[in-house]
Amino acid sequence: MKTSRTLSRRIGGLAAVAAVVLPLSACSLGEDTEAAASDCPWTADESVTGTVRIGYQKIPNGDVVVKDQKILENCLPKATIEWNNFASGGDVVQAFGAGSIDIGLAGSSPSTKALSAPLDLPVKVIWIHDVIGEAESLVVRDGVATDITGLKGKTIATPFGSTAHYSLLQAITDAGEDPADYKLINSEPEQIAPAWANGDIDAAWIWDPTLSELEKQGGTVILSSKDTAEAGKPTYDLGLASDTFIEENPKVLEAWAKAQDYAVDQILGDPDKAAESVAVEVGVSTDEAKAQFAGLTYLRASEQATDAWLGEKLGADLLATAQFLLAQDGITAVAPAATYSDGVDADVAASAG
Amino acid sequence: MSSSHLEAVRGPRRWLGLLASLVVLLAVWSVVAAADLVEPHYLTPSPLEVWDAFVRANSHHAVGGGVDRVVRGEENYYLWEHLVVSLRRIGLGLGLGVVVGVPLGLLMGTVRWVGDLAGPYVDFLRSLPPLAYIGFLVAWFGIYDASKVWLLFLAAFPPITLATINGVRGVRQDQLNAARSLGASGLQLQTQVIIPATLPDILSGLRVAVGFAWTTVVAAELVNGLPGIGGLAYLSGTQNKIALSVACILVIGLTAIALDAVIRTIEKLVVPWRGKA
Amino acid sequence: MSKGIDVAGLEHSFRARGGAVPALDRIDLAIEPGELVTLAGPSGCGKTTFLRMIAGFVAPSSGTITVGGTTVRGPGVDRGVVFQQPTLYPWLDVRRNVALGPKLRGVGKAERRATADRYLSLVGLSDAADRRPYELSGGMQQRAQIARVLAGDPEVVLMDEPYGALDALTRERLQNELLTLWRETGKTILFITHSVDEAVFLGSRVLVMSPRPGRIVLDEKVPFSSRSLAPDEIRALPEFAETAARVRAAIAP
Ligand SMILES: Nc1ncnc2c1ncn2[C@@H]1O[C@H](COP(=O)(O)OP(=O)(O)OP(=O)(O)O)[C@@H](O)[C@H]1O
Ligand SMILES: [Mg+2]
Repeated sequence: MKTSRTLSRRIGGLAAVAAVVLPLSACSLGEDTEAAASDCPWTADESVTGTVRIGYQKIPNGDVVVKDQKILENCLPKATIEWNNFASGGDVVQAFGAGSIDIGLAGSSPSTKALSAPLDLPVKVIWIHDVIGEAESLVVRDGVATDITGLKGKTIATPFGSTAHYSLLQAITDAGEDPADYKLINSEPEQIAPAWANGDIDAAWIWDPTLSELEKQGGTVILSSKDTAEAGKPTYDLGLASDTFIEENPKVLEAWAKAQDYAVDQILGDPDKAAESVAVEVGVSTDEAKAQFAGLTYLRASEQATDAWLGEKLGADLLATAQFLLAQDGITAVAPAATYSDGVDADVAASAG
Repeated sequence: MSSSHLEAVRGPRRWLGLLASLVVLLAVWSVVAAADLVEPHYLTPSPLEVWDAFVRANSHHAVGGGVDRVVRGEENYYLWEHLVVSLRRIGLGLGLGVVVGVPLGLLMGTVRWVGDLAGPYVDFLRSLPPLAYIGFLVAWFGIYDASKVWLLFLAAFPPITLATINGVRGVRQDQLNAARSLGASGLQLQTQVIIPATLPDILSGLRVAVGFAWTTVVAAELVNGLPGIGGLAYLSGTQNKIALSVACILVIGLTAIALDAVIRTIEKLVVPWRGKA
Repeated sequence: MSKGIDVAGLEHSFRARGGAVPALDRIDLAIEPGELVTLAGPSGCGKTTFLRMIAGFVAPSSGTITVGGTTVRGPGVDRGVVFQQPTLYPWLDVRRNVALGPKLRGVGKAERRATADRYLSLVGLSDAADRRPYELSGGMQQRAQIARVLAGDPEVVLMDEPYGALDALTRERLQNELLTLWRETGKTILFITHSVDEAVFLGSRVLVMSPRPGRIVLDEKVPFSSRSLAPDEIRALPEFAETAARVRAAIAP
């Protein structure tokens, strides 16, 4: 007697189904992975409460070590630490723009974008996670060219607006060539390997895992960001924090910087242990992680707080990056030099030194 | 009676056919994967590799690669938990889409000038690809679930509204006249005639909206989409874990089909008169 | 209680693409309370238009209609309408369809259910009460529609070719049911039909409308609906055949 059931009763039945399903989906998901929890390496600060919203990327540096080993969670036991994963520095900058995160990791190009018009975000660089070396390199299809001049007229792929893009253009300019003579194409990292296999591109300035993949497919590295850095145009992965957060949470940032410094120390002194965390977080093997460590330069807090880095030099590097970005239509104006030197805050690193 | 009898005969045969085609598909897939027609190799995972990735993603498993740590699923969530989070977002977006879309459609369908005024905007919104405005939503509503639910809502409500308007305009004039002659007030006309008469169209709109929401959820989860099945599919792609990506895509596809079947069942239960009256 | 209908100087023309289409032309008519008036006429002459104006669905170009002394300005519970095409609601079962009028008036659940069951048994549909309209035959749907109108307890019942699509047997049974109902309730009924036989057999008064633009060309009191003879015997009466011949002549002169 199905037909005798009325519409309202049927809707009631649906509501009952919903009542069963909704609480099920409202239950909290996920679970803390045990095993990695080591206690705070120094005295934990129990006075800090509230939420710290962090934007991170899957890059083999101290940030993912801090996350995996729960150093911040252990050292700020009363605070809630929220880790949000982003695929690119552009996304992290967007999240700062939306006021959705307090601390985040972005390359020097997107960080410069954040400080320049039209964004003019109220953020500061407070940390150098790494100086990019051979981690970002120019891979060339075998036999196509042995130096950058030989690549003229050839197709080179790189994610536009990235640090790799910056290094590529610097390398072209340093070789006395005009970028207009090259076919540069914008491509997401994960689409470069298929394009390469398809024969669509001759070269790419890119990072792992695509970099290793291209080498496996017979590519040769002819230049790297280490070379451009040595030529005076370094690129970085930087830690950013919003101005208000810096003002209101010195204790959080001190613990954060200490945690980062601890992670750097571990990468330098106990790479096996750090590599395990990188393997878990980035999704590579420990051997690959250790190989990737070699492609980046890590700086202890005491070192990066000096004028050679955060204290002075980085502001100038950001200004140079801004001039590059302006030429690339990445920003609408280069701010006065003071904006970039003021956009770097060495105090946080100093507090951990 | 007779149609269910037919189904009873056709049922097993249909399932057998489906099974056979599935076997053939898996075989062809395996051969293509083994033949390495596409370079690099990791881009063409075999069905077994995908199954492995699926199982790993739903269990505690060793990280491998020289680490003897056991982790939970992917990114600390099981694959089904990623799915549930995405479903929750879709459910919220669709729920809001219904709560806003249906009354708006009823209003636009009944009050001519409201329909004329708001119609072009709804049409415009419907024709926009969600990727085009996710950036704005992130700027306004942040990178957390609010912006994602907003995006899904904006994707879901136009088809629901348009279907509702269609339904309202399609109500037979004499069904309204009959109710008026029986003493229906304006409000009673809405609740007793227009809304039930429009229900089949609302459900059709909902089906379209669900389909749209699935394609949109992946876009919504490109930014800070973890946990989330779309976010996981994207992340695994950037990490060259294509087997996991494929597993996610298959799960998305199968869930979408299942969801559609659920709505069709609801249709059968709630509007059994569809196509008959 | 039943009400009378007064139509004065009624005219109507539809605005169509080719200009105004005259549909009704100067109709003056007084229907007494409790009359069963049948209205016949060729297809397209304006019968439905006339009925819809009394129902209040369409406003006339000029002239007035009053029902029970009140000018018609829109649909109302005093006038029940049985449509040419049944307009039952598929989302309600038959009982709830019939109970809709009382429900809209705020009658309690048990009471309106009882009312519905009473009228369903009156039209012989008690067994189908739990079914959906689309599960009924055309004749059953028409009967359900009639039950719904009666359950609304209108003073005037307007019926637009309600039996047009039925087979002869069902039709005759429903005609007899209608007469029984009319005698029991004493309602004013306006009944449109194509069939001369039906018009003469059912009506206490027969009207014939001329081809477009429609006007009343025959208006005659008819005795047969009040006679207590069996239907077959009534149809066999010589007066029946004479009246039918007059009506037929009026329709197609
Ligand atoms: N909405 C309308 N717009 C324009 N013309 C109309 C409209 N409704 C009816 N007409 C015209 O008015 C005339 C009368 O129509 P009506 O439906 O009243 O005829 P009828 O006598 O009921 O015919 P039938 O016996 O076939 O049902 C017809 O010529 C028809 O074409
Ligand atoms: Mg008609």
